[in-house]
Amino acid sequence: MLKSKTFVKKTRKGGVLKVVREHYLRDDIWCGSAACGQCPQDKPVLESDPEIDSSLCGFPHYLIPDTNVVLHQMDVLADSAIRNVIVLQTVQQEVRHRSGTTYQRLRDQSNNPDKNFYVFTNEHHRETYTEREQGESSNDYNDRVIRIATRWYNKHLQENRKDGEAPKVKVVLLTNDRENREKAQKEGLLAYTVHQYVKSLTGNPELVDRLAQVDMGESTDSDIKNEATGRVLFPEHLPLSQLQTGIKSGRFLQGSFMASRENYLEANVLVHGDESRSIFIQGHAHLNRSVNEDAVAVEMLPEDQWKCPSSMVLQDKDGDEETSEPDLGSPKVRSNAIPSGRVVGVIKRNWRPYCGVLQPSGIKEATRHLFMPAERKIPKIRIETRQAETLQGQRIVVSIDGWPRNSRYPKGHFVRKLGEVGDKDTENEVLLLEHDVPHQPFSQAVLNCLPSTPWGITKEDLACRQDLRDLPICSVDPPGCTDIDDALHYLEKPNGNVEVGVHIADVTHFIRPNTPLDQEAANRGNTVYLCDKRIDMVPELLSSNICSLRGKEERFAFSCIWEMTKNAEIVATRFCKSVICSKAAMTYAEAQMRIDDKNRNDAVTFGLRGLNALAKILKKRRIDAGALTLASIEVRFHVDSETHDPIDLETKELRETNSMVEEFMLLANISVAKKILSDFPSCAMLRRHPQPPPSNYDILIKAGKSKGVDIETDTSKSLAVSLDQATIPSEPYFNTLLRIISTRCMMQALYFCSGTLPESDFFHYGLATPIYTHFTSPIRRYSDIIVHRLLAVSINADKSFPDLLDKYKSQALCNNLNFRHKMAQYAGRASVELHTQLFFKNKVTEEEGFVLFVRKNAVQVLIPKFGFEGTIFLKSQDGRGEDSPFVFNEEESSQTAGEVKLRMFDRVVVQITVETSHIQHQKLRIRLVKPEVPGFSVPPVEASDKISQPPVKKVKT
Amino acid sequence: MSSTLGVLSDAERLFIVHGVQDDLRSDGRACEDYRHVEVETDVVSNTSGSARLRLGNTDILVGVKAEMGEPDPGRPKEGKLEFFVDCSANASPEFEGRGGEELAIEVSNALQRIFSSKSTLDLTALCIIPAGQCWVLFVDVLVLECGGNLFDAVSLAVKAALFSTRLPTVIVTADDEGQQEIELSDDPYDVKRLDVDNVPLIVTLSKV
Repeated sequence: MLKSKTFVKKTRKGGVLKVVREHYLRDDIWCGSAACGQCPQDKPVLESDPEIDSSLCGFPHYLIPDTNVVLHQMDVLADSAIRNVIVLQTVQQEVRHRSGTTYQRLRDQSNNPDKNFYVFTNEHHRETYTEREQGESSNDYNDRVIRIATRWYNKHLQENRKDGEAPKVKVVLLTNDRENREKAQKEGLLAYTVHQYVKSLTGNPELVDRLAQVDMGESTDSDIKNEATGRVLFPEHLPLSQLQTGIKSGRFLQGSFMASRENYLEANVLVHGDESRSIFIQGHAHLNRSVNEDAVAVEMLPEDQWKCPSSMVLQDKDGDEETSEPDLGSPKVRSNAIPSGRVVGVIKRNWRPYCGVLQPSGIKEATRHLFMPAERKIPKIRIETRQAETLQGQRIVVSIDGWPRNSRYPKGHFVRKLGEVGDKDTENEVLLLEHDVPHQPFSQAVLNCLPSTPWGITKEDLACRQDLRDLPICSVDPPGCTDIDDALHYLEKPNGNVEVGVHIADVTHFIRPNTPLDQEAANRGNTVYLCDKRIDMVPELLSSNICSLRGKEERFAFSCIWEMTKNAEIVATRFCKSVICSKAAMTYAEAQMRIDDKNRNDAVTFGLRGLNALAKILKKRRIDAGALTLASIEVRFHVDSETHDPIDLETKELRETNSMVEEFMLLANISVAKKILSDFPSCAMLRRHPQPPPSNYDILIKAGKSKGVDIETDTSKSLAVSLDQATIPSEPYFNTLLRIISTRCMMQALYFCSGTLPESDFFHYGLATPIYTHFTSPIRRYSDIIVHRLLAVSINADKSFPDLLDKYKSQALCNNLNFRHKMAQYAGRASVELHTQLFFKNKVTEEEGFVLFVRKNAVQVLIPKFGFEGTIFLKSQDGRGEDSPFVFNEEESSQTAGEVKLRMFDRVVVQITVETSHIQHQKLRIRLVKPEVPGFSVPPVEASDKISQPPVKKVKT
Repeated sequence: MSSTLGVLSDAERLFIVHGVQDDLRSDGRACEDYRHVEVETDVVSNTSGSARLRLGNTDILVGVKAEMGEPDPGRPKEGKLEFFVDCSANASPEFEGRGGEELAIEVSNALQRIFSSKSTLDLTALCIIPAGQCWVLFVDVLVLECGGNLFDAVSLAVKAALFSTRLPTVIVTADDEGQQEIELSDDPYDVKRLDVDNVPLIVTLSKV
């Protein structure tokens, strides 16, 4: 039967379009229930005897949730206790329309055979289809459609029972809409609110905690008055339509809300479409219930109300509902005021489940608790739970449901428990979740794409590849590396030139476009390295075996081979797919030993020396062109082989061979970038590094000035030169500190698609090269896979496919890769932080540190030995600090107490302990030891308490 | 006419003259009788209004498409009607190539003239925001077959199509700065109809 659906919509240009769609009604859509004797279905999804203990419905039943129940109570529906659910098409479509992530979760439930979720296409079923009536709102229509489907199910299951033996299954409608529920009950249907239903589940009392605290319709108005406080704490959010017209007229600005990590009452809003513009927001009312990463609309404040960031470190620690705001610095300092605004409405919430711990409550048996997220940019969340007792000291996941105007904190609900605080696996899980790193095991569909083992090279493979197995190829990597994706060779040619080859694992031979494996890798974007764990981008069989260029094994490679003069001038470049056999897989140290060992003269050692000599020339040339050498301290943990707890840590050492490999990788990347850009001018995937805006350097210049050193920042070259000259003999660490600070002035390097930007923006600032890409690590970066595919097409070694050449899809992919890259970096750093904490557990350590920044109420200290930065609070957090001996001088960034003056770069001695008094939130506590400030600094600990370095070095696991 | 009559035989001429005198045509109609007219409305679902009309062998399809546009500066409070007539080659062999163009223009001019009169259709009903936005109705007339009384049939079909036209209700909201924003009602039944009572019909007469 054919019907047509008609609706009118407004087009983007303001026109009106009438859309007519054909709508077919069918009589062959089955009910999906195993209890049905009528529908000729193969594998019914819904069980014939669904079991769940409910005191409300003491009979077998299926559930039909309405749209709002799915949207708000997904955490309940996703629980393994909730099974046998009928998802109506109407509900599914509406959910899809309203929230992409919830829709995805709903789909996941439907795809999970253990959950028995059945999607019923009620709008195409002849008996459940209905047309919208005159004067009916679309919500009423949807509710009616849902009721019709529920009625149909009840009737259908009753009439078509399997030969009488099956028990009568009923259908229960879950809806929190009162009107809908009353109508349904009038029609003789079973209808309950989710809250009623979940509370009736006698077998699963813990589910109650997961109920989202969503206000039910209009009834909240009276609730607000009933609440003890009864005050409205926040200004109202404007409705979306008003926001949109405001944004169109330019009265409001749309941007992403970025909460400050250091001060919970401050935030910046990055204006969409004009990334360099940011608006400063300060104070509860102006922040107006925005949460980090929300898309918000901002109204600018008049210039005389602009504020300046209070250079204060402020953490929200009091749990009361008071809104008294600490003095955030006098607004009279006009000179430093920056464009400020206030949030007038939220365009799109970007809430996700947050990890954290429960704040211990003063009252026993209380059900209302505060949850402290691990991410400092997220406010505390108020939740209701009856199992607070068991959740103490546990890492838990909580979702935000809403933030009413009369509540100091957003309201949320408990989702799940991760494990004990301080436990390493739990904390690892937390940091993976917090950084949105996909870390589930690979699905079967992905594993099916892998080649079968044992894997070998066939004749056909050899026919289309160059055989380079005889070349003296070797690889040099960090110790313990199992995913070797690059190898090198060096040969002298009869004409006096040399041949240098970079051989990269040929991952694209195994990862074909648009397979599940490819899609998974594209989503993961890169391999994430934690201190004790690696989250692979591709399954281990590929990353550590078939693709890894292991020593003395035949492997496929993508080779980039240059002919060079001995002065490292490139004469010719060629690319080919090849078969190689690495002669040796070495560590940096081993390679260095070979080079230094005069007695060894085999082909590989000879090659290493040649490469090393060329690399020095290349490096000098690069630095002359203005490439920056910046510093950041990387540490490595020595881990106990049994408990996997860190027992020692060292800062990573750099050898000549590190930079040797690096030089050739850079060269290969640049050569490949040129090649793919010339063949694919509009869709090459490249990497750019924009020059930072001059204001970014302010802090660096100021830091230099404090020691009488001028830093030039006009070009990368002048910066490099002035950094080289900035040395103070008496302070050997000064230069490194400056370099650390300049690293922080830099912009993020980004992947992009060449067709989306003018060529002048392709520049890579840090490497001082006009064009750059990533080609050399396809095992751990997806960008390299795309680059491999592009290069393979341009040398006719592989076929092209439409998505590869579509610049918009390509740019969308770049955006994901950039996001994943950033998150992987953050996760890595968080992992180091976590291990540092474990390392200092039960220890009191004293160490040398340097003042990196001076704030109004604190100084930030870098401890080079451990590579981390800590904050010493000089005043109590409300900023009043009458009890503190320190006086802050903003002009010269210093803190003075009596005769002691703390300034940037000053050397201090600090004591590091793990704060255990607060078991909920363990953190490193740093206290000043030297210079001594009476009444503030702590006395040095006994020498015997200091940790002693274990002399035996252990291998990183 | 006399020239054509001139080639008739006496008997034929007599037959016609007698027919006129007795008020009877060869198909049984009286002189002032119309042929049978069939009108069907809402025939094309993706238009705002449509009608198909058959009058003897004449077959006309009219579609009305409503779009938003700007009113003429001289008439800021009125909407607009645009006519387009297509005499397809299917309708009559003479229309082949550009043969039908002249006739099509003549028909659309006639329609334009009829509707330019204020009493025909209340064009102010099509106004949304004075001097800002209005409905523009594009009336497309397709001559499927031409079997006489073309003007009559077209005018009747246009009237029927306008009668069946449903315009979605538009709500104009203004924000505090006077910026006006247009919103559509999301109820497909919430529509506005046009008053076509005064739309005239054309009657073609032929004098013998």
